[in-house]
Amino acid sequence: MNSVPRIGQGRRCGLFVQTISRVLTLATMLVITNVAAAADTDRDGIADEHDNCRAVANVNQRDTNGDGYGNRCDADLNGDGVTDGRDTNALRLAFGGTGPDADFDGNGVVNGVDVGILRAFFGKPPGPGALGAEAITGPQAGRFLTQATFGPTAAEIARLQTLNSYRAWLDDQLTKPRSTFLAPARAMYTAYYNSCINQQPPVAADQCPTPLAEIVDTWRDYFRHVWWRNSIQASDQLRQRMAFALSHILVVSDKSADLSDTKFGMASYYDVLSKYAFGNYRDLLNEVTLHPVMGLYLSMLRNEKADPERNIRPDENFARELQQLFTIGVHELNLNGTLKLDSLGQPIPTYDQATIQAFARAFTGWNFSNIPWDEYAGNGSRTTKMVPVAAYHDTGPKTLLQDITLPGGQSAQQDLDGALDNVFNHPNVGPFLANQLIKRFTTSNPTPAYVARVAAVFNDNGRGVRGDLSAVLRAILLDTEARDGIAAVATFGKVREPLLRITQLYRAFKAKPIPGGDYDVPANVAVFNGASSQGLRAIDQDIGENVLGAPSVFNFFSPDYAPVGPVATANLTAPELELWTENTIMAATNMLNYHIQDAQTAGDWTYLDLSTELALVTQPTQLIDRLDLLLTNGSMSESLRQTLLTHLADASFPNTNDGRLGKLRDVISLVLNSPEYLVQK
Amino acid sequence: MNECKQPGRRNFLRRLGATSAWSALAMAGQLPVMARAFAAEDYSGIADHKSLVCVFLGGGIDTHNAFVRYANYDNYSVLRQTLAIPRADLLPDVGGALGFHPSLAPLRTLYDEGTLGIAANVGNLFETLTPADLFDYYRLGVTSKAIPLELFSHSHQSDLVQQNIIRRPGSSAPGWGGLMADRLVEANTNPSFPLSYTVAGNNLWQTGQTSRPFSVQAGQDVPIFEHFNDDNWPDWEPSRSAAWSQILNRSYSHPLEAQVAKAMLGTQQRSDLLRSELLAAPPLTTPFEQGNWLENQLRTVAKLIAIRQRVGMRRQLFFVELGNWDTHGNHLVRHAEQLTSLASGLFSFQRTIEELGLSDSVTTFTVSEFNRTLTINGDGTDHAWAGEQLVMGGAVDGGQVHGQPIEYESTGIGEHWGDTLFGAKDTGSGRFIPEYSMDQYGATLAKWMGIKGDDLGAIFPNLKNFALKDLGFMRGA
Repeated sequence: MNSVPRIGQGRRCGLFVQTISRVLTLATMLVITNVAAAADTDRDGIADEHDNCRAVANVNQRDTNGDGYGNRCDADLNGDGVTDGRDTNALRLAFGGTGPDADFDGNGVVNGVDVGILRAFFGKPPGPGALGAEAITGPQAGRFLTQATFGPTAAEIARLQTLNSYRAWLDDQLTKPRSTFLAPARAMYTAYYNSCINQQPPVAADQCPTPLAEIVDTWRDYFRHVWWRNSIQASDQLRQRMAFALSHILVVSDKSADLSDTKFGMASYYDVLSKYAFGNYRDLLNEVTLHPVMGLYLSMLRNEKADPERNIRPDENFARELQQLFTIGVHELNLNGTLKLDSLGQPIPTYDQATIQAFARAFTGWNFSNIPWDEYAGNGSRTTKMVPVAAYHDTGPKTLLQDITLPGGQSAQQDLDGALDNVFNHPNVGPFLANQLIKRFTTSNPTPAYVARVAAVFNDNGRGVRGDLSAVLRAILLDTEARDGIAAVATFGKVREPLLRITQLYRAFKAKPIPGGDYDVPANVAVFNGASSQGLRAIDQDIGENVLGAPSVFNFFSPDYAPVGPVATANLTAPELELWTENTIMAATNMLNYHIQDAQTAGDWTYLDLSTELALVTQPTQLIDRLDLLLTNGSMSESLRQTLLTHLADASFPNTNDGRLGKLRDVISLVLNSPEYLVQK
Repeated sequence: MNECKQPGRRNFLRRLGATSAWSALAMAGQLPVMARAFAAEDYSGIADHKSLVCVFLGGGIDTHNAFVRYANYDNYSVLRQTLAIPRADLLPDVGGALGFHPSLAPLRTLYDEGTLGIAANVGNLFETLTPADLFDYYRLGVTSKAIPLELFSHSHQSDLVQQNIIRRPGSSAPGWGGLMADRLVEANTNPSFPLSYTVAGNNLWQTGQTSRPFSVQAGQDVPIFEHFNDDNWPDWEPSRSAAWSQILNRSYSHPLEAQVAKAMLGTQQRSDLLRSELLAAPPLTTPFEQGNWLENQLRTVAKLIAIRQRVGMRRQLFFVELGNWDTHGNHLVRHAEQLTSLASGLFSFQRTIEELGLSDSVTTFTVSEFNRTLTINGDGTDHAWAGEQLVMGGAVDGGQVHGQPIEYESTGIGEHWGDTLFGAKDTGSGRFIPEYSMDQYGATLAKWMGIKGDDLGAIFPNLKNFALKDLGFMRGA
């Protein structure tokens, strides 16, 4: 272990003065060194004027027919100056072979990817500028995928470039089969159960509770094992990322004693979020409201009508948070998300205590689907929708938002439908949700115009439908502000949240689950041996975030959080920074660095495959370009580049494999912990 | 440490004007001298030690079931129905007037010893209000009175108890602890060392205009950046930390990047010394329960208090939290568990402080966003307003309830929008308007910490609206 030398007071004061002069020197240096580099559109390290394929990164400049056009930009196999049906035929003949001319991407085999590349060039002449100004560059693709997925991979960047259309990529994602949570979580548990009852020496049957139990008291975190698998591996990345965003808004948490052992319930709830990720928000509200996990979390489950004899009135918990956090917020909003003000310049409340009490009454009379009202709640199903029980429902009339009244005599189902319609149709929902979702995907500080554009799509998807989440998501990601970023709005961007820092690392460097185990924990055998925590098990304590593990329904951070300093001074927000304390800053940095620096032998931690990058260490510029493509998406500053190149050139590194590995680990660590990376732009 | 002089402030500021190092250094807590820019009073002459510990009870603690006045038991029992604590189960104080919840035996001991006091009927309030004022506001949207906004909302009322100002949406006003820290930092001899510590993450209470808390984790050593320090491994490894420092010390024009760089730098600069001092702290011998989250946090606070002299600290502020008080359901069971944790945590902390011989100079107090409804929703309670808070320490005028308790009847005395009113200050279903404001409560504590003169009014802007400036629970303040 590292020992920390005690720093004397004198030295500390010396440091203080030194820091100032160092910064001054650096500032001076910056002015001198910050000269414009030659244009390099695809950031592959080869300046455009020398690049044989300018729009798509091709570090090795592979050009097997020697015509001066890189293979990646040369689908004109017969050399007649245009990519057409004859080239398609030629490709068909070469299909399955090694090329080389038809192996456009240089992966050693002529396959479907090459077909896709040819399609992108169809009807166009070959050449370095073949895809022209319209082509999506590698960094642009990486940037889009950072916003829309759990992190770009080299393969997905190439695929998006091949499609050469964000729209086409989104269309493709919208039709991808949905990865699920409950079924794989149960399967994992069944496998555990079978190995548990078959172990030697045998254990008592009650040591291995049945896989169908509603509440499972085990440290194996089945839902989260699946979450890591899906986040890292699933091909329906957009849906998964949307479900994750929704989990920040429609919050439930296993920090609540009512949900701490409800692994399958949590998986089932997350299935709802992912199932309706591209659906309608009204339907999602219905599913969330009636999910027993939400019913338990905000005590709408078994909420009974008033009983004046016993001095009992309905529970207000869900009624309040549904309005404050899930739909409309506390103040009336303009379409662009700014506050509406009254004649005195004051914000206008959306509801008052009487509204809350009316909603509380509307949501009375719902129970577990499988047991009577009075039976022990531990037996209640955590995975099937709640059902109405008429005897406990308040049938009086209820005056809801905007003075809309539900008539008396309605059933629990009718009142629930009416109450959800009432809140869903409030004009606040569009701007409220637009603002929050934009903050989850693209920027912490959208302009009011951006919010208004997305909110308008929520209000009407163009075909008269309100609440279409796939249209909202498309509007968020394709908006000019999202695509142009800091070129359009200087403060565009968001601080990467801790979980996404990990998923991006895993995806960028082709992480493999811990052998025999998962991404987050080692092998199953630990269940029996009581092995100590390893991997990501203590992630809550380290980084302050874990999926469906917020401290309260107010989530890990507030959408309006503005830390004292440059952010508050500039009147901006940085929600994710609410998690940043000295403690989490150091723990998160240490954990990520541990993956890079120490955990490169498979075992206790998820293993990263750095072989592609290791091969580039002897070509420092290309290595930095690759890291820039994968991690900072082409936004790396010249000064960061220079720092990394200087470090790579340090003569202390021996000219051995260890030395090269040391160089690689260092530059990855430095990028991952640089402000330029930590702020996704 | 005194052979090294800080650069004079004026000189220093002029130099900073030319560079972006300003932000990084301010974040690192290197500019306590800035506090003088807005403090009306001088605190540099403070020579004694005092620490103030805030125990935040997140979620809204039910105090109706925690402390029951026997004289009012019948009214209480009628309204609390099945959730009332049976009279026979309450633990009477030595005077026989106050019954403690059966899970609060350790707190009753402290109360009877005189080191625990109760401040009654406190909450967010800007000026004295009646239910009619509130109903006017509901009906008309305006009133001549200042009404705390977003009543009964967790997030807004949590912010308000910590900020203690009339808050408008979107404002990011500082907290009253932070405003105290901004001023008191000049009492400490090593201004580069943090005055405020949080064991429960970021919070508004300790966020001042210039100061912010240093965050430590309960029961853990202060970490270091393990891969960015001077002990590189293997030996041939060139300085990774130097490269990283170069990156962090750069000037960033993007405000988010500037904020991130500042946070990283501040962490790097402030953690080393704290880490080594805490590792060198003498062990504490008072037993404590390791599984109790609150005790864990308070144990860490005790260690930070124990090292105060070695690092030149005369004033310290601490923030810990015990959440999960939002007992909408399963109230009797969950509330009892919560109270057990609270009592055990406070008790062992007080004994630890006594072990250190610092009982008279360490005061612990509770804050919660609101109390809960006196009426019930079946098996739970909902969000309300006025409640009781606890104050603990040798300087506390303990063993008594300070202030006029919440008054109510067992039957309705009126109605508003179909909601029954159970007392003159009830806004419906037993959500009572407080008699005393958080300004008065906080000012009483701030005064004990040495805040004086115009600063009290600057930190507690609503204090001027109340005749009583001191709730009287601190001795000799």
